[in-house]
Amino acid sequence: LQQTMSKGLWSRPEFRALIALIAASALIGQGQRAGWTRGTTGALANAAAAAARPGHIAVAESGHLVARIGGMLTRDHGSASENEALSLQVARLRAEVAGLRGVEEENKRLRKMLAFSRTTELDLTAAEVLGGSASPWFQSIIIDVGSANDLRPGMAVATHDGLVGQVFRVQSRTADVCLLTDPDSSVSVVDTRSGALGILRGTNGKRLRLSYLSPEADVQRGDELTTSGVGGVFPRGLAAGTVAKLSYDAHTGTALAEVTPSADLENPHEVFVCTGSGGG
Amino acid sequence: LARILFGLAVGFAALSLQPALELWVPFGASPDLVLVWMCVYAVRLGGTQGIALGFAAGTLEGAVVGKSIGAFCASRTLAGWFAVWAGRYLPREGVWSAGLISWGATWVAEGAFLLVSPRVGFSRWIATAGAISLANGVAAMPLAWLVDRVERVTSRGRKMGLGPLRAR
Repeated sequence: LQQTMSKGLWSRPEFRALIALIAASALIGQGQRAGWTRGTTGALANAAAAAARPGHIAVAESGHLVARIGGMLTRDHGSASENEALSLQVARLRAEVAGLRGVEEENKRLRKMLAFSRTTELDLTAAEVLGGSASPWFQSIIIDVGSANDLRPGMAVATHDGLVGQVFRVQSRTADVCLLTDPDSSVSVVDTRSGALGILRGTNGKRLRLSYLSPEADVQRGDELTTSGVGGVFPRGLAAGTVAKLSYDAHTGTALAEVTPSADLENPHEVFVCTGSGGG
Repeated sequence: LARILFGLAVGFAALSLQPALELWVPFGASPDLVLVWMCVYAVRLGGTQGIALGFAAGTLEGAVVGKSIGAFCASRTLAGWFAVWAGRYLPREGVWSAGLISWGATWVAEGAFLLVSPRVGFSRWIATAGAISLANGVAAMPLAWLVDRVERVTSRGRKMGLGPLRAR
């Protein structure tokens, strides 16, 4: 019976195709992990991303436009029923005020960014966020600068509030940034109060996890964490987060901490890419 | 040719919209548009072509994300197979069946993805996959309706001898 069943299943072309394609997927996955097909998969992935990027840029631009028009229309519609002439004028003024508020908010953000870029010694390239990751299991953003702006994989990305993540793929005019909240992200940080060192990792949630702290490490709730500069990937002194909760890992015998990121990682608008240390 | 071009255009639109949706839609409940597109077309293609479309969609999605391409390929291939299999038992052109198939295929895809590339805990996976599957089911219905309309218009045009692009 078993032989008949297996023969029956194998005689179906769909089943054969399924097995063949799953095997191909496993090979691709293993190849990517082991680096066998680094050039090929990297080139294919870059080509696919580059082909999709004009669409991403167009959608991001249209989104900004639609949000502005929508904001103006909803404000116009709400007060049009009372006194026609006056309410229309009021609606127009409200739309203008709403528009100005949006501009004011943007202005505030940009002023803070400008102040940050003036005070820091790092070489920074400003970028606008075009979109998020194409999958909810990956925490990343797409920014509107790329290799044309001298970006390279591995560069740190920050806002005036603190560290955002790290560039992991670069195209000519766009780049992908792995956020601090991604499980693949790990950053060496230091407690600014006590000097305790630890590794900050993403959890795919809103908070980060500070691990590899020694049990005697002096870390308290509310402590500020900044990048330590160890490993040379991230520049030293960038704000990374604030300790929100402390716990103990019985498996590793080390202290753990939940950390709230300093930067707004859920809805970033503008970011800086640290293209150099500033000292040359 | 018009159908193929329309299908490719819808796929490109899905791929273009996806990153923006991830930022705009709150609570992580944005639909996986590429998966929805794949399900709607896999049911129509059927057989090995439907499964191959799943593999292609996975490759594309993995390439755009830039990580775990193998996991994307395997999970979307299985989802394509599920869509083909479920399409045999449900009305091929029904809007509700498209929603149902998309909902089920999302659980298959996300379940396979969790097994191959676990990135979150089980409880969080359940919540996220539940939200995505619902969003995908809802998103599949208007897309299936649109694809049906286009197919009807193009096939009517062919019957009238007008050619697909002059179908009115």
